[in-house]
Amino acid sequence: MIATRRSPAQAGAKSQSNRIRLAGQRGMIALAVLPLAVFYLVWVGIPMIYTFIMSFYDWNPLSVTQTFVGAGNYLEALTRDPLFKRVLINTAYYTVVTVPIGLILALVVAVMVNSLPRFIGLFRAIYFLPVVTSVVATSIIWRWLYQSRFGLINQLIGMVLVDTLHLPINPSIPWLTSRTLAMPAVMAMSIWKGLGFTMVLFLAGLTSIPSVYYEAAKIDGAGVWQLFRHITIPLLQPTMIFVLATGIIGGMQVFAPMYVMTQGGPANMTKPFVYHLYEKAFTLYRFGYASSLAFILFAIIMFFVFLQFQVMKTRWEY
Amino acid sequence: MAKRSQFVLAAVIVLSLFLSACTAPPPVAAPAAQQEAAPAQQEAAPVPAVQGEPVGVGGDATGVKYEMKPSLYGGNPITLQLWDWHTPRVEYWEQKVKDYTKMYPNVTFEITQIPGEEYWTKLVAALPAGQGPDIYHFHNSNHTVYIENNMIEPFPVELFDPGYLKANWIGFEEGHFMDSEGKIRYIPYGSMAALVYVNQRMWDEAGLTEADYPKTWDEMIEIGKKLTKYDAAGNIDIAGMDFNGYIEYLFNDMNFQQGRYMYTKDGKACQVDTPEGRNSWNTLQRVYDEKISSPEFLGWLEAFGTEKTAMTWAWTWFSGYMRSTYPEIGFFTLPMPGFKGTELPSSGRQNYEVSLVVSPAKDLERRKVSWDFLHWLYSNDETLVDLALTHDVVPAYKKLWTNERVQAYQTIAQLATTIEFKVFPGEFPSTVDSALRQYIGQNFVSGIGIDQAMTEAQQACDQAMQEKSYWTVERTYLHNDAMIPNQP
Repeated sequence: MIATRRSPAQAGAKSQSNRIRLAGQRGMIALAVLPLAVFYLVWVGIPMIYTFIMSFYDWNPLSVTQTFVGAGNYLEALTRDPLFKRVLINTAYYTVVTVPIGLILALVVAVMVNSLPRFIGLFRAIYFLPVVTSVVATSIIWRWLYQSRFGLINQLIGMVLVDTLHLPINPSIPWLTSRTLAMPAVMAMSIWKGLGFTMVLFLAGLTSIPSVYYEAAKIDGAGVWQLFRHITIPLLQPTMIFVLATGIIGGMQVFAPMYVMTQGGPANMTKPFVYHLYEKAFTLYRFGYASSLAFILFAIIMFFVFLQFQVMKTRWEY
Repeated sequence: MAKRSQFVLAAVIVLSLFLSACTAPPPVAAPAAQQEAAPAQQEAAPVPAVQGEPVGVGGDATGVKYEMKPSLYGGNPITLQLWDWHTPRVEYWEQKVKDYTKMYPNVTFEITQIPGEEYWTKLVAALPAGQGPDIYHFHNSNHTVYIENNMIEPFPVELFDPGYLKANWIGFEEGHFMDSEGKIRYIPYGSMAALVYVNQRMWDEAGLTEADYPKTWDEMIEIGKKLTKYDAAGNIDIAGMDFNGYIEYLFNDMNFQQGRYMYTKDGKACQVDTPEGRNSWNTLQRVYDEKISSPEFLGWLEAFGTEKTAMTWAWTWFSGYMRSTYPEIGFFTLPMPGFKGTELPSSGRQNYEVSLVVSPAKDLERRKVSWDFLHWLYSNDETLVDLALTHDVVPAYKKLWTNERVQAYQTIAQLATTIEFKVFPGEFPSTVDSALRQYIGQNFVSGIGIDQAMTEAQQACDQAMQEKSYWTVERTYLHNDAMIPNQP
């Protein structure tokens, strides 16, 4: 080995050259990030800050002057708004049911599709079709499927339970007009619609698991359940966390299915938080109050997402 | 991942996904004085005025005869922006502006159709900022907001004579289109209300004749029984009369028919849980009890078009819907039945279809051209008839009720005979609409009892009314003396 010695002048020149290269790299990175940063600042950051400020005002977009009300909007929401609790419960109910069920179903379907010897692409496309269909269109179709007297679902129930099994039941089930059934009916549609997207995420996760893990486990005598429990589930945890986080955020923001299928009824039993917020903003022009509702919902979502990160904090390295 | 990083990541996800949809640009005030002082539109170099052919001039329906001007806007090119949400009306404007621009070739229009929901939010964003259209179509459900915030210029009295309008047009005597200072902010081109729609074939097949036209709800139920058809299992196959999905509006009409107004005098509460309200509920319940319809049956809109109901109850826009969507189905209309078989105290609710309006945010010279267009448009009898018939409303200009084309249109001719007995309640806020739909319409279908339904509906409607101040004018009804006296 030949050791070379550099003079202090040479070392200084080298160090300066490194610094210039590093500065150049940083400049390039900054240049690449700049358009996106500006975009977010203009379209997200500034409006968001403005919205937060205006949540302390009686903000009517039609009025030139806006009145400062302090925490009045927040207090009204938390203490006086007669629908606040109802829409919060509805939203929580929707999220708590649709997110885990959607996740489990998508995982099951993804594992099944992944185990197919062929036509994986075909099945992936079939399950993904509802995702690319407009939520308004699917909601309208499902509203028809749920129609009490002539809807396909009740017709099928009538054929199977009444005509075939001769059960003494009335097959005219009021899916979307019953106070107890309306929300589950909307949830079922939402789970169906979102299944394909979650399934594709899980499929991507499944294909990234090296097959050597399964092979090694099989040699050790692991069964199907053990493979699933001890290899698939742990290695899919990052995907699960992503699905849960986005699912909770999406669930808390749900709006369109209820707007189209039930208009929040009957008796506000399917009115979600964002629908309430929308009504305050765009039918009553109470933008200030609607902004405060938005930040309350933001805080709630943040709390749950943070909680979820804490609960599911696990080492994923194997 | 570090706790702080997790938190930041979560915050970024949530903020990006959620709040970007909940924000709006700050409103920028455009002081009226500044707008007034703004120079005339400098769109292009001045060109000599070219006077075109007079088209549709000489009308005097507004009380001021329309005379063709030698030129408008000094003969300089000008493009007026016109916004509307309603397709048939947009198509009609496209025809009319062609006629108008034949007279004034330097004037052109850019007509923009914006879908319903979006329309009002875009206007709200644009107008306070001094942007948006020169002329836009209005709806009186926004009366308070648009007038309070000065987003509609008052109609000039030198073009729209208030005295003449009061004497010859509906609603002016009651002051239904004015602001608190008595200035006209919009005018109606017609009024709409509900009628009973009957499937002609089913009526004939049941052997019914003109002598069977029902005048009371009792008679209506009897006729309904004759028209209802059942399948082998005893389920309704064709309803005698179906109004599912519209129950809350029918409920309101029934209350008016019994002399009960919709709101309290101060406009701060509703009158839902009243003896008349309960009677309306029970009458509606009878339609289900008699198996003329059922809560599980189709909505009225789908049922009538698919011949699943022989009769329904609808506002007259439904005629246009039937013509365009189900042209093969023959139908006729009947006046609303009542509890007494007469029109008094009222035969239900009405609402106006109102005019284009002018934005005060534009400069004076542009507004002059806008007003000339509106004057030309609404002073012409044939235009007013076109508008009424295209939109299935009774013309607001009473003289036109005997017009041949109006008389030949059964729905409108019929509605014209009862329109004076219809109550205009003023603003019908969408929150009240939603409350009644939720707690009257949907409660009916969900099968809860009258006590719970009435209590809930009253509560929800009151809450909706108390949230904001609404413009209620139902006590200006011309037959107010026939309504129940001393209502709260």
